[in-house]
Amino acid sequence: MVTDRTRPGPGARTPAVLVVADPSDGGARAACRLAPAAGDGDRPLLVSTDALARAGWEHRVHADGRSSTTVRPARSGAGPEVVIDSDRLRLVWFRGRHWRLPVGPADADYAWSEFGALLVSWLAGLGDRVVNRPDGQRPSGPSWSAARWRAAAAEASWPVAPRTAATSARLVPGWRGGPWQARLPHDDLLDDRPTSVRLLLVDGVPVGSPSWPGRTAAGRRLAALSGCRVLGLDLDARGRVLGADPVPPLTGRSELAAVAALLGSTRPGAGERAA
Amino acid sequence: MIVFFGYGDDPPLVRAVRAAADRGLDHLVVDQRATAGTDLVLAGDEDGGLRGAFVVDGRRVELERVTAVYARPLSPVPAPGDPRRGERDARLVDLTVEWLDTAPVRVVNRPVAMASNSSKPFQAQLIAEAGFAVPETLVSSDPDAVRAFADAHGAVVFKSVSGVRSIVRRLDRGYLDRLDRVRNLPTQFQALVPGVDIRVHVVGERVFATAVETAATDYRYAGRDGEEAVLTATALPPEVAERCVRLAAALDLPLAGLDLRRTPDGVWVCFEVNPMPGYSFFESHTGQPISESLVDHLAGAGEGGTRWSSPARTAPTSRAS
Repeated sequence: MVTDRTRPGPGARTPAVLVVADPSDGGARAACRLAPAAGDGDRPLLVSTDALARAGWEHRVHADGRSSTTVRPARSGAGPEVVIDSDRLRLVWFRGRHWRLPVGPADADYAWSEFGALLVSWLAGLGDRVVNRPDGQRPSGPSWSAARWRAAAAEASWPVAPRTAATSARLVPGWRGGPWQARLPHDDLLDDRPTSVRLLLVDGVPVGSPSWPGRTAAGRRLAALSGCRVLGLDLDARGRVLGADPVPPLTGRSELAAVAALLGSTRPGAGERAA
Repeated sequence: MIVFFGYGDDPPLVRAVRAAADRGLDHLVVDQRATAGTDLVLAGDEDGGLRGAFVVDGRRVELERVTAVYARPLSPVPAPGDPRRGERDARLVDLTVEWLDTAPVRVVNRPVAMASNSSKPFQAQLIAEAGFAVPETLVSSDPDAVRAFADAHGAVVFKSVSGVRSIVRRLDRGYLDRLDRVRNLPTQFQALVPGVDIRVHVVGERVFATAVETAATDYRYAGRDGEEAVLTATALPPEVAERCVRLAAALDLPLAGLDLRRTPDGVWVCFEVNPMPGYSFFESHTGQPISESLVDHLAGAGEGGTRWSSPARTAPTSRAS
């Protein structure tokens, strides 16, 4: 029997709530600062995607499909050792989009794909202890197209912005233009760029937007369909969905407070997948 | 009407088109290698309804007429001449993929359902949920952890995590001496599973199993390694066949290629579910009527709507293994 992994040393920090974000993600930083400590006094730990990319990894998938993971980011300065132990984690919010590995330019794309594939497997093994459920391609949530998001929103009974797209503009009813443009692609959501408003949903509930009454049920349904507890919706001026983003920028006090509350709301054992 | 989308000379597509023609089924081929006269228009309304049409060499086919699609979308083919053609070809793939992901018709396979294959250990966890054993796997950047894994399991192979540059290799002395390289990029290692390779094609609820005998580590590259691979049609135990159908359905893949290995003590281990299988290679060697079954499935009655029961997973298009 293989020893799963080396146990963390005494004094090591093994976070229960983890946020992974790009170094430029100020919203994630602010949300972590605001988040209350969990019942055991543990505050969310923010780790950059680059630090994870350079960390020591042991991710195991056993013959019965159970997974276990230990990640050891490089120590920074005199701080305690940090060991990210999947058994100890209660919640992970993965917001990273970019990661760089110490490989040469010829291997950079390959390494990016490989590390991304590792991330989705690690996060999938945590079950519902993630803020947004990964799919096989994206660790931060489903890698859906805007069209797919609109279809999901419609399924959730949220109106969606009408849209016509064509490989040749001449096929679009009512289109007018010259012969050269006639055989260029057309997409009225890309070409006409309707004004959009970003609405944050946390657990499906619109944040800070009393002007969107009646949307909570639709928001909750969309959260369930997408597996996203944090989701940014792009809406047109009539509140119809243009698209969505599982890693929305976080701005303003109400948005930061809402996600901070989500980070601080974990209960010991809540949502943990059986070992 | 059935729509076939992909390269017109791609063997799996060719066989399916031929099977549809032999049956006299109404169908349209959208050939990515011959797109000069091809267009697609999509119009979505406020309720999520979708209308549109393919136009192929002057023939307009409204999407409402389409009942099923077999799609093997690949990268657009560079075409000389009209510089607008490249933009149109790229948009043709993008819009077709969008339509495939959301159209309320029978689709083989929805691109969004293919994403699980982009991470092998991710997919392994889903495979195990369906009741198959999966290989003991370690993805690590720690050479000591890898050595301990190799010591514990004896024979070990390594392969890519994502499927890019996916060739299975034995962890032999030469690679063990270079293990420090994993510090730059976590690498996937698996305990070698002894036994007989069985490739299973699931088409809806039908199952076609092929035994592959080879001395190569990876039968897909047997020729490259100077080895032979002998393919023989075989039968699965009913319970295993049911498990294959359940797994493909759970992944929302009406057509799937499952790589199994039957160990000497009778355990069935599943390595991978290929969402765009190159079934033609197996059909040509064994005579199994996979393309006919595929067309039967496409022509079948019944709901083909989008599944929303689990977060959708998208995948890059790839040449079949």
